[in-house]
Amino acid sequence: MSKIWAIAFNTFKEAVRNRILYILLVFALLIMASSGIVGELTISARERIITDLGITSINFFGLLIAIFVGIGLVYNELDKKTIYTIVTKPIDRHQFLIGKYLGLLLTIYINILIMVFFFLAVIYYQGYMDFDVMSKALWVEQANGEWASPTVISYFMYYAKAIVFSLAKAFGTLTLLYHSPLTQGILLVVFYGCLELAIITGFAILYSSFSTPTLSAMLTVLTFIIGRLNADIIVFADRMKEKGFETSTQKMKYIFAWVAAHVTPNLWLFNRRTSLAVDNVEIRLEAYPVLYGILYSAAILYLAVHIFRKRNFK
Amino acid sequence: MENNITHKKNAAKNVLDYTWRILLFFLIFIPAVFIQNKQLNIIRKKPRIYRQSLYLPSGKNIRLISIGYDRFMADFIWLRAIQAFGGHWESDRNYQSIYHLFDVITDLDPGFIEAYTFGNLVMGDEGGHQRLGLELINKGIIKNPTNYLLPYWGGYAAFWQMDDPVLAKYYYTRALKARDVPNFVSRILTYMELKSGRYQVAFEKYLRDWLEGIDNQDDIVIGIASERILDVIDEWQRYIITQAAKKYVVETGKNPSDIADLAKAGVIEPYTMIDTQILLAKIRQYSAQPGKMMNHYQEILDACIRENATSLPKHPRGLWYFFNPSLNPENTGYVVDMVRYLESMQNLLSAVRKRIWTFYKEKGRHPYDLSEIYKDSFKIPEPFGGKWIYSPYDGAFYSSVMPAY
Repeated sequence: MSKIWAIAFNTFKEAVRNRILYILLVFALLIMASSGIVGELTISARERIITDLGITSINFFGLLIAIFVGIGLVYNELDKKTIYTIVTKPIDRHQFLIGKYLGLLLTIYINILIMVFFFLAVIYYQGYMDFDVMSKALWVEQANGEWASPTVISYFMYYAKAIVFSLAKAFGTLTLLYHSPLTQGILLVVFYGCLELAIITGFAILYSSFSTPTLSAMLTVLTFIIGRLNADIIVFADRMKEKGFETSTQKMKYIFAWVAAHVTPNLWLFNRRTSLAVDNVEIRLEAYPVLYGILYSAAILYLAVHIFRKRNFK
Repeated sequence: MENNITHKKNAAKNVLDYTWRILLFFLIFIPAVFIQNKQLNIIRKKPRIYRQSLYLPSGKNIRLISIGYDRFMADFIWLRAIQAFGGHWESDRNYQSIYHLFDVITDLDPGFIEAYTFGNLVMGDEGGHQRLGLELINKGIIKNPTNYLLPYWGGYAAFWQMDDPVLAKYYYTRALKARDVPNFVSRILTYMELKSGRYQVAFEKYLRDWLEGIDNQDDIVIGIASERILDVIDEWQRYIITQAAKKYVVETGKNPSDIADLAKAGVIEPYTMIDTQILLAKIRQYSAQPGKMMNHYQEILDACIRENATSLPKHPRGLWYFFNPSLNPENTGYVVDMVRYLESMQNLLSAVRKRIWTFYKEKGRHPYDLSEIYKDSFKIPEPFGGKWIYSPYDGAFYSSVMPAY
């Protein structure tokens, strides 16, 4: 186990040196920071726009990191022949691949953690910028009942306080010391997203174990799309069955669709973003998707290990 | 020493090289920015047309290609819909094409309550397409059966915009079944039993929208609600004056010649008066204070409403009410304000002048007096208390008070 962790930490160290990672992270943070400006363009759905933009950025950039960093991990080791220095040591191939997988997952999750921290801070900061909250904090009632306008210094102090408090609250939320119903929902949505990324990372490693980075990237993106459309495949199969099978080809198509719906990853299971908007719908941690995510990732990783074992490095 | 000099020379050369590269970059880039500036000026001058919204695929198709980011896509189209609304608001005020955008948004995210309510506001209140607005509301009710806001909006649209109390009652009863329904919705059902209930419903709805608009700093919502609330008060006052005028006719057997006659004859039934001055003053007062405007909703309502008023209603925009001289109390449009009054007087003058001109073409002379062109003599009184002046020499017809018209 220690060998796996050694490779995982090494992979993490290697991944954090990857410039793509920082470019993606900076982009994600910029988008989240600009969500306040985008929120200004809307009417009466400001909080929703900011939340959606943040959640989508975290999910989408997490996916991009999984693809762009994941596809090169194994290939680069083979291409640069650095794998020889590892396989000559008493390390099994499965330990190497699992280590790589966990290292990449660690990289993605730490990035997500940074993005979530920043996103929560943005949400809390927007809360401080609410006209009601801001005016109550800044306006002072005078003896004659009039309200005195705040000074530039009091504005500056308020903004500084808002930034510090937002960062503190974001830290508190991540350490589960402080939360609101919205942020609790956001954390669960992100958690489900992490399970989805565990599967996608598994596929990135699988494809990377037998093909080139370009092909791996294409295959991972396709797998992601199929996974997101998984629910439509079974609907398609059911409709075919309802119509009845007139030819054997139709029956074959039905069987193919049925098998595909069961074999391809059901990424829709981890999409809880819609529930954030629906009133009275509480996002809960459910055992079934968690179990599915873990088992599916393990299965894909097992397949990757199997292929990698058979691979000739010469 | 020599090495040091060479090193300094190289460093200077590098700086020069670097500066030259930066200059070259700007030399290439600045003309591009200049061209872009020219293009932007062309774009600015063009009228904003948002017809491309019609070419957007259906929500179901967009949902398919959005691969799980459908909520984000809904937000994106939502922002576009607001821009499209703004564009039409500033230009042709024809919002029919935006309906498709709201339809797509609600297909992508059926839980997007603001899209249904704002869509209804745009289609019904602003666009006059009440049926389309109600279609959006109905779609929302099906997708969000536990939400009170949508049937509440549907009830308002049916009662105020479509004048259909049966349909409105259905919506309000449905709204009352929702778990989180606020108290004011139950009050609306009692308004429905009153004669002036539809005005009360519309007034409270717009007041709520206005205050929420201020709380959320939504300028568009504030703009619409603040205008519409004055329209509602205006329409409400006209209704009261018309009712009083009808009573005046029954009691005296003649049309009132002036609006003040109603107060003198005591025919104005006790009514609920909205004091617009106090309403505006209260909104100004509370918006200059910290805290949510909605917290002062009841205070504002209590301050501006006067029950059992019998004085002449005042125009909410500071104009005056008049009787349309060419109509009687049974006609809609009998009570008009200064602006519409001058319009109607202009119409009346045009109609009389046209008859005079037709007579001239047929007979080759102007009529000696108006009884020649009006069978039962011309009985419409001069609305400003002056006289009609007719000259048989040149066929001129005008009011002694406003000869320029």
